Amino acid sequence: MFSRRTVVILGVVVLIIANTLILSVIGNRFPASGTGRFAISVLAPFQEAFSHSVRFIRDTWSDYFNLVNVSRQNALLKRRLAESSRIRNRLIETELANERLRHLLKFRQTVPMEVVAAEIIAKDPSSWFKTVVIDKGEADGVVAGLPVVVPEGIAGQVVETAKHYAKVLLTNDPNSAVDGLVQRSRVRGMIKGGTSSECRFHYVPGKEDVQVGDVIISSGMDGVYPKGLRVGEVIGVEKGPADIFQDIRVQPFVDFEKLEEVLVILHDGGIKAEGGS
Amino acid sequence: MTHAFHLVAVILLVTLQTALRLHVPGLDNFFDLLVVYVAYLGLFRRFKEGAPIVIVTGLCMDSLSGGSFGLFLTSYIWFYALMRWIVRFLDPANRMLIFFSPAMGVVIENVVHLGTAFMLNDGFPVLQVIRDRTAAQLVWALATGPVFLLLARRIHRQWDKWLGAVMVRESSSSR
Repeated sequence: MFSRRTVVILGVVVLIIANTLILSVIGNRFPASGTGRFAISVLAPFQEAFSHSVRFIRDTWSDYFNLVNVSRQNALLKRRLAESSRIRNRLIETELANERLRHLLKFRQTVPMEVVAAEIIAKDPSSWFKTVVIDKGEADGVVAGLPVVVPEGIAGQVVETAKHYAKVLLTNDPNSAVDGLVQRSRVRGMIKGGTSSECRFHYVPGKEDVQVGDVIISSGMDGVYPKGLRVGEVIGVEKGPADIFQDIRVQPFVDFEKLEEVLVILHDGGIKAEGGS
Repeated sequence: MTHAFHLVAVILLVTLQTALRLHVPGLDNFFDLLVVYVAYLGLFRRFKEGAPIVIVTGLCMDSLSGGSFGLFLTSYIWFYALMRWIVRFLDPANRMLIFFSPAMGVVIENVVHLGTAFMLNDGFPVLQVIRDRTAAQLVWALATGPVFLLLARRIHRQWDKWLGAVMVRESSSSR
């Protein structure tokens, strides 16, 4: 009745439709899968080893480059100068790392909850999503759902864990959502990530007072992020005459491209940490 | 042993794809290296050898990614099926095929990712971002994809030669 070619084409179309339906069901109903834990446990040690190797090579190369560069000029004196330069560069790098970690520690001391510091060892393999892998996991008290912060503000949320590693969904990811409010006018809304560096502040009615320059903080009402943590700054507000909600663009305070260390807040929920407010 | 080679290659590529991009910011819009390896498996290796590796690779990438589970697996399976279908008509070593196959993989992967985001209404990116990012990935895929594809083939051939020589030595010494 039907030729072989028609049957093949129909079969491919049916497969595509079935695949599409399966993906939409999985995407909506099963946002996380247990196989991720196994894959993270297997792959994360390689990622961690690679990241440490790159950092070691980068530091060694800068030492080597200075040594070779200086020793060309004058043997004895330049060798001493090269030695001093090498120590100085190491001290500068140590000082920079020290400053970064002191900044993190100072922030950590201001956070009234128990936290654990973690280092980022890998990022999302896709350029359309924003997740990172950190070197702390269930053995350190990290579980899915915990907020992840840096001194500049909210970085993301733990979405999947293994024994010694965890996957963090950054706030600028399209799947991320933070219940926030404008610090000045206390207008509530939802911060959602996108595929650029900006976020959007959704569900803010047109009549509410939001201006460029306003600071968005976490409301604590989503049960994930403690109240009062900085999220970003409003950089654009558009109100259409017939629109129910305003179109508000937010620039996050966190520079996600330069994240190296983060803090994971260990608590049962943002609402509890704020005394149930 | 050949499956072990594939698994090591996949682990290496996944580590490069995730850990190297962390330290080299300019690689944010680099294309997915695993697409090249899926193309290699589809063009040059048998189905029984390549299919399980494609599935394992897709599962690993989905586990590490923040997108819906199944995106990478779907992309790789469809791309692998396309490669297997193409080699029925074309010589796998065809230069045009080697040149364009990584770019085809990038297109399929982006269609699956963006199509799913559009269906789930999951922060679908603005058209300019889609255009810029996809164009950057295609340029990288066209410029470096064929090189990686041929490199994978060459390395695996050397591995097969070395393994064959070792097995011959062992069997002759056991006699």
